[in-house]
Amino acid sequence: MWDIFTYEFGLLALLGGILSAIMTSLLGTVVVLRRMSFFGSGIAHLSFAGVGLALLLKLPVNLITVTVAAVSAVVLGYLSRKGVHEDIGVGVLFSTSMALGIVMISASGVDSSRVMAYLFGDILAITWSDIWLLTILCAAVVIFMIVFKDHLIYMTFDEDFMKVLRAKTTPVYYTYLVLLAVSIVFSINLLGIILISAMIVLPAASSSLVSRTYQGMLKLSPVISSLSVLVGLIVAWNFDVPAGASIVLVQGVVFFFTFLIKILGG
Amino acid sequence: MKCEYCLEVKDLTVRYGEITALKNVNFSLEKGKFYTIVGPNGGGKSTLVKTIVGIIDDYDGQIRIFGRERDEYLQEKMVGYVPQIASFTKFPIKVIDVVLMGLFRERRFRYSREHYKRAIKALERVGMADFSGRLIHELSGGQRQRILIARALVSDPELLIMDEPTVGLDSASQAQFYELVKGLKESGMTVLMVTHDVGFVSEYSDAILCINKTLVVHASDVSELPQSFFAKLYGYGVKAAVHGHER
Repeated sequence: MWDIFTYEFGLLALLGGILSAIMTSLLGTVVVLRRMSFFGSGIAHLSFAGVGLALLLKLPVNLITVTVAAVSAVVLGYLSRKGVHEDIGVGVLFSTSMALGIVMISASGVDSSRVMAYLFGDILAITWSDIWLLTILCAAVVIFMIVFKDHLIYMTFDEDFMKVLRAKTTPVYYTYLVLLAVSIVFSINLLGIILISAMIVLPAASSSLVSRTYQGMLKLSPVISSLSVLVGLIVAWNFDVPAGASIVLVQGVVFFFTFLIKILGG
Repeated sequence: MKCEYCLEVKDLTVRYGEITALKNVNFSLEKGKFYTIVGPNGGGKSTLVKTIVGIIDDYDGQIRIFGRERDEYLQEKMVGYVPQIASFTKFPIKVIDVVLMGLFRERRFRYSREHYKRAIKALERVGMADFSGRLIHELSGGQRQRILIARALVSDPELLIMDEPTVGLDSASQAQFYELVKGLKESGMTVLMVTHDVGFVSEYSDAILCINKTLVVHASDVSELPQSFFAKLYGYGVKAAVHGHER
């Protein structure tokens, strides 16, 4: 049952999956509390336009995709600060960016299997260089969340009061959005554009059902997400199903299970 | 230099795009007194307090707090602020964490034991210490309002501003709130409170500011106001009751 982890690709998948799980679930807790679940999915789809642009112009895909995702996140964040809800901004750009990506990829003439890799990811194909990148990014996210957790939670709870405190929430908010966008882009290699939003929303949504406080959510989300990666990989290996989809299915099952506990527990 | 006034507002004008919410408002508040702001809905009362406490930064005119420019004062100290009752729909935050928000500027990455002690003390002051571990959305409207007052008081502000804190409260919660306010007044804190409760104004207020886009009247006593004043201000027959008696 565990023999997937005796192979290097299996260990790399587990390591990369857990690193991605930790950072996306920590950032996802704020996504869920701010009720901007559509945002993560939107950024992933927007980054598809970045993939298309990079392939068309034959530029480094990660660099261009990160840039497009980060700029989009900041623009959407700015619109949200000006009274346009995050989800409305995402809704407007969601389909157009996807369509733009398809047109540009088609014009670039690349093999369609490469496009499928961006859409659905391939966690079993990640390399040591991906692991190093994910380690650095995960460390940055964890440090950011430790230092600025109160800023993010308080501005979600009562932004006016943060203004009374003269707290510098704007730079923290934009840094958060950029980190979210970068985390999404680097996790696309693992789960793909279609499934990555589940990694952001599901663990935080599950933990919100069983944790009383936001502190509990921040502790439980990474645990749920990391365990889902472990179980998802084992299921994928033993039942010969796609690993990314298997991980997301496990997260879905955990959500419904915690939902059931919540209902039965009153 | 010692300042006579705790708050001075000069020629204050606030616009939301094309709409002028406040125009050329001028007044000064003395230290240690209890002031109320009355006026019709949409008259700019909330805009005025939000501008004073720093929520609204885009304004013309001058605001001085204890003799210093608003921004200079707010960089160093905090004005205690109690907003209108918020719903806080299902937000998973404990009462103690809400009160600790008031000490946000004093913490270094995390709250110390001293911060927690002060938060509990503030909760004791509003009679809510036993609720420190409860979630804010589990409380009633009146209890939430007292938690927000504790959050405003925890940093020991020199000036406390409250924006319609009794809206939506039942009469029992209102009575508890008024007892709390009475205690604050007796402690010598300068308080500025927006309210529609004309009876409360006459009972507790040292002076009244009537705002309807601009300062209509600054009266030191409700009895100074002509009998028809509130009816004209609100547009219908409101009567002020002084110490339980109708005027």
